[in-house]
Amino acid sequence: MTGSSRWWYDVRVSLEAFGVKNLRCLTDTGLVPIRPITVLVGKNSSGKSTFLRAFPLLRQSVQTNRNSPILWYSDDHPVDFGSLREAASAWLDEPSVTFDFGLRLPEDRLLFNEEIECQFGVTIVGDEIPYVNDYLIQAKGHRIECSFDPKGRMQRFSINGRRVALDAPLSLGGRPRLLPSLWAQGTSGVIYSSAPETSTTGNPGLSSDSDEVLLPPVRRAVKELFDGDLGALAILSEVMLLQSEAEMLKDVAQTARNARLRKNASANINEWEIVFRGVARLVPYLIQAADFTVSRFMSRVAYLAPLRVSAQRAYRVTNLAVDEVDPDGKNLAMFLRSLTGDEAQSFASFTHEAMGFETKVRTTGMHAEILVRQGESERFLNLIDVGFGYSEVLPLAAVLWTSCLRPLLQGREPAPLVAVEQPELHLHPAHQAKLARMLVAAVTKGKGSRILVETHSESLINGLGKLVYEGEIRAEDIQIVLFDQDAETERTTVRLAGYREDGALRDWPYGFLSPVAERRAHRTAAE
Amino acid sequence: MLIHLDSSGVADCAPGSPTQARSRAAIENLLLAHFEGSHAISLSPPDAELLCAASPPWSERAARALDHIEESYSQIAGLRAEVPLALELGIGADFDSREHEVSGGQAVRHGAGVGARALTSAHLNTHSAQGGPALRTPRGVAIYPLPPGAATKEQRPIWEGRAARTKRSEEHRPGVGNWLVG
Repeated sequence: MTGSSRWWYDVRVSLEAFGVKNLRCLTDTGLVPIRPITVLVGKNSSGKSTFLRAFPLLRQSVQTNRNSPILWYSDDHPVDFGSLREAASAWLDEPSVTFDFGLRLPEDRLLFNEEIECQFGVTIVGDEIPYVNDYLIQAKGHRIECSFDPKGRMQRFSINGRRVALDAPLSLGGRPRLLPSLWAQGTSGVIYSSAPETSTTGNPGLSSDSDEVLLPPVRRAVKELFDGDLGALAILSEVMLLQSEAEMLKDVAQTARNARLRKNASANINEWEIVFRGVARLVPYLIQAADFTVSRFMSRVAYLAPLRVSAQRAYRVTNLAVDEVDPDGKNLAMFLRSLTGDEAQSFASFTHEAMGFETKVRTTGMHAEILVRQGESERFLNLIDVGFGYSEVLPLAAVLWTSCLRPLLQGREPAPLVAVEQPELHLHPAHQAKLARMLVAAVTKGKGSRILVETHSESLINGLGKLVYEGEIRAEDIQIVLFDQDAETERTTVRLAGYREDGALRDWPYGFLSPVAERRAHRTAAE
Repeated sequence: MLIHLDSSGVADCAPGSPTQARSRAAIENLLLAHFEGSHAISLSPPDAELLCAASPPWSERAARALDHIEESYSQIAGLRAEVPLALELGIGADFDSREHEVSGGQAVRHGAGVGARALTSAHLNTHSAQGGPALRTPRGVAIYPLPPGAATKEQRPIWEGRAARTKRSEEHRPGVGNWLVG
């Protein structure tokens, strides 16, 4: 690379949409927009949990050094998809899973002169050690396709359907977090490394030796079309940024004019060839930019599993500083005990405003108790004495506060996404509606965190609509995603719904959550 | 039929309104119709909250219907925006039985005109599959408590302005009469 750039991570500008293909019953979800609040609804086994768990799956992958892109299972991580063969749709002969990312990539002096939208699809295949089989990248009107063999050697490289002829082989390489880029040297394999957990700007910069293979054809095309100063020709070869074809053609002409290059009328090629070669040369850096953005996003996804551990009357005290609530909430007491005075007060305000209760921890000798005070009562009671709902909702409140609101106190990075399964567990419908208020408070008072919720709760859906009506959140900030599984084929289709400005549901299939419809589906399946 | 109760009607059953009792009885009957599944009643969230807090309390079934209407605001409001024809009930100059456009379809505003107050009836027929009741609008559109297209020419509109029943009961009264205003 002739230079380097530094990537700035912005929680609000990164992953805009996400989709999967051939993951369990999800044939193709399409790109699902990830809004400040995204609600996944559907029957059991319709694939909504699979979709949601893809986020912690990618998180556990990018947090671990590994020899394959995805860590489908590990003892130390919460999500277990088994293996690629078990995770891939049952109707496939050869297991294959695709992850699609809708990315917003920030401006970079070597790649883009403005923030751009990019769709990036990666397909994983293979049995013992699954590998990247292909990429499909769409950006600025260019459609870039690359495919690879099990050793990572590039088999096909095309831009807008036209094959890119290579002077020398390229292969996947380097130490990516998730998406290996193209390298000229060797096929020694890819080492997937863990993404750094801290620092917003600690970025190694984009670098690859792929210019050895991809830059000479650009230079040849420039030289063939233009005559003049060699230095100016070199500049023309290397200054191209990724833009639309028309913009790139215009830039080539403008740069040639500025460098006072003469156009060679007898040349066999035209400016379009320069643009084609210029785009090809930028692909390795585009892949690195996507890798950095996706891995940074995924490495800090927060996740709360559907089964929370039961409350205990007392917890054994440890002196571990607990920074994050476990996916099952089992370290909740030590988490609360680790909060500073200001943090504890902020957390209490959050739960009080949203759900009408607050908590504190009382330590006696080697044991700590979680105490809860309901409403305006002066009396704190042990968590185990106040009903099961509190012990279910408390881990959720802690995860939301930690991910969205705590950073406001400490200047830390907020979590880009909080993925929560069935937050309504064990809650009365009236409290489920309050959950909606808690979710909305977390995203509207936070610093750009988004929430992905999988639910069966009509009360939550209606509660969000009422908050739209009240102006607490904008209708366009909530996305509802409907997972509808065909009883015969067991394949799931995904549809989008949402709210109107007055909080009314739009594109909502009435009866979607109805138990009558559920019974009918079971009856039909039985017949 | 999907029936939206306008804020003007809700306000008329508030304490201090000279026609509170009649409007209250009408709304009670509408709520019972919702409870029985004969009609879907729509209220804005503030109006639903006002009615929830009304005193004396509603009958148990009406209160449960009101809770459901309040909890299901988003779904009912969504449906209201999607059905081709809905009925809006209220009091005032706008409620002249004329159609007007709402997002996604048409609605007929029906109620008491200028000078008149009180929702004096809330009697909407529950039997609609064949020969059920309908409301004739000024443009000749018959509103049936059926999905559009289900109505046939044989159905006899009975929007004839019969006297209203205002008896408070735990049952919605089907059969005769319709929504009337005095």
